[in-house]
Amino acid sequence: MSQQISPNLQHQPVSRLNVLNLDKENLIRRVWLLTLISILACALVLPLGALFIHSLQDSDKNWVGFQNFVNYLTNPALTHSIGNTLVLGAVATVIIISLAFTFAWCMTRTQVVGKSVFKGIAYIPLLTPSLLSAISLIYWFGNQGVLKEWWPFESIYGLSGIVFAISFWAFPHALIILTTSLKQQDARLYEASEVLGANPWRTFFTVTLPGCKYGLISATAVIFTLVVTDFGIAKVIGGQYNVLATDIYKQVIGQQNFSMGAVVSIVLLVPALITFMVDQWVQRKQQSMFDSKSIVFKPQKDKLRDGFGFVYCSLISMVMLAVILMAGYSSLVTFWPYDLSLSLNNYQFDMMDGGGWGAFANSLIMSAGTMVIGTAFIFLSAYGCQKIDAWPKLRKAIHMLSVIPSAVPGLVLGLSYIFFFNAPNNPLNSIYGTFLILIISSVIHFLTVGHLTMVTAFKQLPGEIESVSESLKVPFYVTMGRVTLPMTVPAILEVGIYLFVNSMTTVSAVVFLYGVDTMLASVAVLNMDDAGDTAPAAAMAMMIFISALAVKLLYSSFSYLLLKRTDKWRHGR
Amino acid sequence: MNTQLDDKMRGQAVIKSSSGCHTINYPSAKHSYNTHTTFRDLMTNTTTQANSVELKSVHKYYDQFHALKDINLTIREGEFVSFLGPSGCGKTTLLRTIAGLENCTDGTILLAGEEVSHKPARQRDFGIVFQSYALFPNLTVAENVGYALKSQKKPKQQIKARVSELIELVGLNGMAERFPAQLSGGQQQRVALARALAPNPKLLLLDEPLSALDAKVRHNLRAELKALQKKTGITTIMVTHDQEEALAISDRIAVLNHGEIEQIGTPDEIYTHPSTDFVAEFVGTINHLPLTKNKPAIVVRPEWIKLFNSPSEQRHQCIILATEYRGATTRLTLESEATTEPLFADIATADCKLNHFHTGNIAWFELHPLVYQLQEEESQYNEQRATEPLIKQTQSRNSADKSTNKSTNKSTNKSTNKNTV
Repeated sequence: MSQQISPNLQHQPVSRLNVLNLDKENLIRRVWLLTLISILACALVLPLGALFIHSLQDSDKNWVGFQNFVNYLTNPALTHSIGNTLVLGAVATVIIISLAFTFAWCMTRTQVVGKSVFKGIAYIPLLTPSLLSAISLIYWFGNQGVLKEWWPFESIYGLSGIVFAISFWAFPHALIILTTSLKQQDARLYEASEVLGANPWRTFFTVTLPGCKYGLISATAVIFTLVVTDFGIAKVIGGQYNVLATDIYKQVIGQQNFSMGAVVSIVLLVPALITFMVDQWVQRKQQSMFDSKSIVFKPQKDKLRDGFGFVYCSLISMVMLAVILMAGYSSLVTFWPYDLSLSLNNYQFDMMDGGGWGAFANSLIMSAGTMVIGTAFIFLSAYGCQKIDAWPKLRKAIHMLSVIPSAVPGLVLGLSYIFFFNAPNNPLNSIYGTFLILIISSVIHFLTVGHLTMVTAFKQLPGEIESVSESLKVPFYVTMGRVTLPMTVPAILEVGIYLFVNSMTTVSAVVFLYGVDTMLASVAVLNMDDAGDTAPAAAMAMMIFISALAVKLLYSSFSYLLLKRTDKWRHGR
Repeated sequence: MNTQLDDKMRGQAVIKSSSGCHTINYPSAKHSYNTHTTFRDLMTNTTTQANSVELKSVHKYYDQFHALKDINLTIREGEFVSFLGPSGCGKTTLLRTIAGLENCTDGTILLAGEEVSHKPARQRDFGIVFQSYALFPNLTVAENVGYALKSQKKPKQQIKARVSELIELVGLNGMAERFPAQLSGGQQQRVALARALAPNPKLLLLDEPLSALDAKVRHNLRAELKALQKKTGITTIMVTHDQEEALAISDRIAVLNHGEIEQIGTPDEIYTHPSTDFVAEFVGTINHLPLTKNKPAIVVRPEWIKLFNSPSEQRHQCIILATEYRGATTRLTLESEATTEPLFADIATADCKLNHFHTGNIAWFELHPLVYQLQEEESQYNEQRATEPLIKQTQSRNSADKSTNKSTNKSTNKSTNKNTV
């Protein structure tokens, strides 16, 4: 390449320093990116590294190589969990994907009456901790459940119970991906199919299914990861059915065997990493499916089809409501099943173990902190990846590190934080047991979705904005504040509420990290249920649901008013 | 040896004709038309106009892809230069390299005499307008225009005065408080122009500024843009793929193809004396005609052909193969014994109607006198070139140039590159 360029004797060779052009702006750019990579290193890479190192050490920190893994694989009680986890993952994924696909199809391909009501109900589980569905199920079909005899399987405590409860909780996650995928199909393909005389079934198999192939693969990968890494449900309703996630918890909390906990964590990372890579591959393939010329499909009325859709959506919604209403009802019953009178006794959390109302307040503080700090961090880091013109390889690394957390189960992240932040020689160990570590772990745990939302928003902005700003000699950070930030407000708001709701409901990462003064509501649910206080656990789960719902509604109206004010420049009205 | 052969190939396009093989002689890559360059060259020698932009053997690579190949270009202060070419020819890359939005891999870039080859865009003095307007949607027209001034911490009163001056200049009176979304495309592009001009840059870069607009708006804005440029006297470079736009608006045009400048010259030079086949065909339709024996064949534009319904000595009989109605003119496809290939002629539609120039009819065509004049120039030029090697044998290269082209300017002769002007 350089051979083709004739040497130009007239111009001076440019010194390396000159090429770097370290004026104030370039300095800020570089400091910005270095700060981001340092934060991600401390909050993600180093903790995971610590986890890996601990898996190679015994309890007294002696190097034992892969001895822990050998011990693990020769322990039938533990390896049995691998099979259990895979069976659970396979069964639950097939059920959830089939149910959610049919529901998504009803939402996008039929003229069902009351679509928005159905959709609203289907999204309820997003606002609940996963434990809620398990507790509710116990009241329906448990040992003292109202419909105990109706449960078709041997016992609710086991595989069937876990599958049912997790289907409720993971349903909306699959629904979001599949609805988006079905919505993105080009209406012109349907018109072509109809004009060519294909019947609805043929159209379904030749247009609909191939068209959302990538959506289906992506949803399958995401749901499989959710199912195999969730531990709250398996803990509450799993009975003797051990899975990898509960094993980690038992090894660490029950037996204080941190090394074995690290080993199981690494085993659990394997399926998560595989599904993560499948999802990444799909994302790359999917990009070119829908272009600006595509037309959104608008279904025509069809009595038979819409009737089927209505019946199906009603059934799903009724089950959803049954789960949430039973949780609410059981939390109000004075003493199940002997005294069915209603009272608020179970809500007197200060009268029982588990953290009391303080835990609920802590959850609100922690979630608000995660929302504020997390949104700011995600904005700045996505901006760094997408808009800062320096060190492209470093920016790619930051992007990669921001996408990886979706493959790290919360339990694994929490355990790795113990290893890293609780190490006596770590200068950062003062944050152990504080709100800060809970907030950091939550931000990292939910980083990926926020990051991708923000990156997408930045990608939709014209790239010329930065060029114009530069030609006008206005520093890039001024334009970021005056132009880029206001333009991406909708995405910022979306990221904020996502972080809040998920921090309220999550239990996995924080279960290892809460301190004496930072007990959280979701952990209290777990602990109270563990202690046999199932009704107060249901009450606390309901409190989480109600507060998440209230904040979500308040937030929506706030967002609506805020965006209304910018209507003039957004839509020229 | 190789380069000589190359030049020969470049200068000649071989076409077939009834009397054997004719060649069209394009002006050699190394020379310009004396008759067309002398006046301008004299001007540059006597005036003190500074060079606003100078590019010296600029190269740009994207990995293995050679996007810009040895670009040499000088733009004088106050000039309006267009980069014209098909998509992917490198014209936008060249503009962005001048702006500093792309790095050049090798070569030197001087803006107003100062070397800026490796400086970032913010350290170069220019304003830029994009095809997509790239206005700040959350800011009003006035805020957009005053964006750079506010950042410079100028007094409020001063900013206000400058902003209203610019808003008036681009004809947007009374729209200062509107948001971009409340303006039409043409109005938005005016705001972008005012915003680029606000800090009083020495150089204005326009990246396909009119391409996103409707035809009518485009034509109006084109004229206004030209008038505005003359009024402010700002050196301007515009990238466009629209040859008509480039011909109408520019002082000079650089035609690019495959990352190289094929030709640079005034619109008239580009249109009547295209130096390569590519340029000839990109800026219009051409006919290759062997006209008179012993004279070189040259490019003949369709409108340089006149059509009659009666024969005469100078006219050639032809049959009208096809007609294409274009409103003001009609394009006729003619077949004649004088040519092997069908001939395109643009005739006023009114004449076509009066003279019954319909498909299948017989007519007689004649070439516009300009064609013979151009041909005469071409012959002289060829003779002149034929004498060059003799002199070169006896004298050094530089003195040969001086003695053969006394009237032409130094820069043309010094440079060994066809792109330098």
